[in-house]
Amino acid sequence: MSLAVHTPDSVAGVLAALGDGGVLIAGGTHVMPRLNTQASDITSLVSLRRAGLAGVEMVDDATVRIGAATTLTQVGNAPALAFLRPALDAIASPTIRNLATVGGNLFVPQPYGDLAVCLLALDAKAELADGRTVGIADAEGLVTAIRFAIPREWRFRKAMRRRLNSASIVTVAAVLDVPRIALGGVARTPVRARHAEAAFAQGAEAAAHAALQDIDPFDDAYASAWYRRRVVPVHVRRALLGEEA
Amino acid sequence: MRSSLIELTVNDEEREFLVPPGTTLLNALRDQLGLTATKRGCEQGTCGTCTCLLDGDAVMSCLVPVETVQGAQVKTLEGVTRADGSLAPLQQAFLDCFATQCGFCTAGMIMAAEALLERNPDPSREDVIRAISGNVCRCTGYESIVAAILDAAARR
Repeated sequence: MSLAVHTPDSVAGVLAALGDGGVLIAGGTHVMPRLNTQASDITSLVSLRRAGLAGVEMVDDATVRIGAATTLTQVGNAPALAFLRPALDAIASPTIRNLATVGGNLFVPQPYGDLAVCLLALDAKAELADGRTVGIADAEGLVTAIRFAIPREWRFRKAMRRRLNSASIVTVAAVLDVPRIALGGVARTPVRARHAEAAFAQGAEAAAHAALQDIDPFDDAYASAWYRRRVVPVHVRRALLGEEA
Repeated sequence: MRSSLIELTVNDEEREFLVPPGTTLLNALRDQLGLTATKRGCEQGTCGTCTCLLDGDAVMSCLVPVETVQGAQVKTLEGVTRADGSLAPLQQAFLDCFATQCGFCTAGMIMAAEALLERNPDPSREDVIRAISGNVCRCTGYESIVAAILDAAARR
């Protein structure tokens, strides 16, 4: 394997290296397993490690901005983001969270990417290197930062095969006071549960059943599509009611 | 493709060495520096046996291209052992609590525990379980490893 590794010290440097056909790598938790174990035609890696994209700052009293290369551990350590800790703790292990980044989490395939599910529920915006700001679901190319408003009534729940370090069977993230509900593990990408949101006015039970119209689940090593469909209403209801496991 | 010159501080010692492009931190430690305590397992970030400390944080060294961490501080199991070759309390606790069977996970387990105890000298059982949740052991059933880490915390 002949692989060039670039570690530019600016966003402009990253873009230049990407323009030459490089593949973006942030924490490496998704790119490196493929590179280490599969045949690959990747010839150039462009690392974000020195591009100055890590850090958490408050834009104003209610709005937070997280650099795309901020690690999941760093996100969890930010006092303003304490509400996200249960979600972060449910993602992989500390040794992975010390590498994995916010930006990278947007691009990992389901049933991974629980933080992306949270960001969808938070209606977060992605700042792109080309100057555009787009919704999380439309993030593409080089994401430089994520921003969102700190929610008032936050709910998170993840059904997994083990208590720690396991991918999602069903992930539910919700901002109740809007309401905005996002689901993970139940489709190829995180989904906004629009039917569930519309039904929430009739209560958590109604929203839980309506969520079945929002999903398109798949079989994998963690659960079958049948099982995911079967338990989605249970976990949506429990999440919305704030019930303990 | 040309080799790159890498500078790292490994176990408090400044090291300079050449690596072929795309070398992981894991392979640099083992193949370039001869530090073979850090084990090569799944190479997918799943098993945890390659765990070492990168600037104080426990990471899976198989997931880190070494060219991206120029100048970093790295600590491996060799750096946990005392300078006179005697075992550190954490290592002694693993021995005393029968926390090692085949030994393949041990280096990674100890490094994950080392990172925990450096930040949290008095961890709860729950803290310990979380800290080693990325490290797979197929022999011990984890119980003796958790006991060893708690025992080491009490000794330190």
